[in-house]
Formats: sequence, structure tokens, C-alpha cells
Amino acid sequence: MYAMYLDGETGPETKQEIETHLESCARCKEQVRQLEAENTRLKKTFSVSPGPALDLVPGVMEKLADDREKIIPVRRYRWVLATAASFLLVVFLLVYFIINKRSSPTPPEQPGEKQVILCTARVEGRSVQTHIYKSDEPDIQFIWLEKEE
Amino acid sequence: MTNNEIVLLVNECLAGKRESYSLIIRCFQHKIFALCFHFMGTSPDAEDAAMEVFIKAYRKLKGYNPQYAFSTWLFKIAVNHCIGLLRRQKREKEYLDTQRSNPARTIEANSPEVIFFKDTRQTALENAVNSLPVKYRTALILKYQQDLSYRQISEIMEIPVNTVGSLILRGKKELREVLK
Repeated sequence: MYAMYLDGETGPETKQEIETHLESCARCKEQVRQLEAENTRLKKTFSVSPGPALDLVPGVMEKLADDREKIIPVRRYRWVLATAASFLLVVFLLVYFIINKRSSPTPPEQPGEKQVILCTARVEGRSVQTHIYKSDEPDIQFIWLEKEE
Repeated sequence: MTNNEIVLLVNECLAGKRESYSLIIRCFQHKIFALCFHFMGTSPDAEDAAMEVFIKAYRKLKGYNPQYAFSTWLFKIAVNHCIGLLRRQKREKEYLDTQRSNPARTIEANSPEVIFFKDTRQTALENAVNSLPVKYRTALILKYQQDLSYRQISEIMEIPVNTVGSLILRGKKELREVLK
């Protein structure tokens, strides 16, 4: 209780009660005096005088400026980056569709010599027929999977 | 500087006026340095730690709630930063201890060499304080160096107010026993 009193952590009523008691009790008064001396020693131990030379501002601001330089170029050129990214996306999509178009053959309307039916299989629960077609170009064949109605 | 004045500076910083932060640093640098000193033990380490605290605080500035005292918020960052550094140092020390192949080279914490250097550098009380568990030391530093109330200490250490009182009492008791 006396420790809290000295730390200023007691309410006004308790503080008053303690002070009234201390006026009449030499033993408690001595206890409080010892605790007070202990606090003073602790405060002295913890006191640090870094001196007037301590100035953290330049170091901190320099470090924060470094952070800013790392961020600002991205911000400054964000429109350029966004345009370049969009352009690359358009190019990629164009190439993708061109390649897809070229590699997606359509089966001949009439089955003929160019077509060989290999087998009927089940793919994802559905019956499909596997055909091999020969194209007009030499050395090019393709497989066509046809869903059975 | 009042907390309202500091909140204005914080708002200026958030609006992009970074120069305002230098005023905040100048306002708190001695207190933060002193706090770091008793965790780190040397002036250069305390200065480095204090700088890192201000850098960390700037990066977290958006998260500061102006309803609370800026100093409490800053002390919380400082205490957590220093405890983190101490833990890292402890892990590194443990790692180095396990890496030492020759046991004869290891110096025990209470060996004459260590005691000699400690006693020539610091007072007995300082040694005793440094040997306290971190939670006791933190509570004592915040109370007797920074002169904070139990409520402020409870906010910084994220513990109940009653526990702050207990930590301070137990910390002092341990100090008395060490100094016997």
C-alpha cells in the first residue's frame, strides 16, 4: 500500500488516510522513508543523460528518404507501367488466338479416305468416338474427338 | 508539446509533410534513447535502437489512434522493439555458445572476468537491475525512468493495471534480494 502511495496510485481518500496515520506512527513513517529512498536510488540508476549531442533526426530522416526513393519511381511511372502491361496483354491475347485458330482443325463434312475411326471411349461420362484425319499438308495428322449423340 | 499539438504534426506527416516528423523526433528522442539504453546497455546500441523505433513509428503512423496519448503509443513500439532485439541477441548468444567447440574458452556469466568488467563499469544496483527478468525491468524503467502511471504502463505492456503494481513490487523485492 505504501509503495502505491509513493507511486501516486492511491485515491485521494486513501492518500489522506495514509498521511493521517503516518503522522502518528513512527514505524510506518520509517518504512515509507526507506521506500522513498529506494525509489530515489532507482530513479538515479535509470537516469540517462545522453548529452546535448544526441540528434537522431538526420539519421532517421535519411533512412525515411531512402524508403521514399524506393517507392517514388514506381508511383511516378505507374501510367507507363500500366500502358506497357496492357500492350503486352493485348499482344499475348492476339498471339494466343492466332495460334489457337491455326491449331483447331474442323473435321471434313463427309467421312472419307482421310478419316479413320479408332474407337469409342468414355470421356467424363460421355461416349466419344476417336477419329484420325489426314490433312492435305504432308506429315500432319490430327485427332478429333466426337461426342456420340 | 501537448498531445493535441503532436496529433497535428502526425496529421501533417500523413498528408505528406515529412519535415513535421523531425519535430516529433526532437520532442521524444531523449526519452526513447533513455528507455532503449536500459534495455541495450550501451550508448551506440541505444542510439541505433532509438533510431529504429522512430523509423518503425513513422511507417506505422497511419495506425496511431489520436484518442490515446502519442507518447504511450511510441513507448509501446520502443518497448516491443527493445524486447525483440534482446530476444534476438539471446538467440544469437545461445547459438554462438552451442557453436563453441572448446569449452575451456567459454566465459560463465558469473566468472571473475565478467564480474570484474561489470563492477568496473556499473554500480551494483545497475547490475542487479540488468539481471532482472525483462517484464520486471520494463515495468521499473517505465515507472522510475519515464515516470508513467500504472495505467499508462498497463497500456504499453498490454497487462492489467493490478499486474503492473505486482510487477513493480516483485521487481523491487528481487532487487533487494540480489543486493543483500
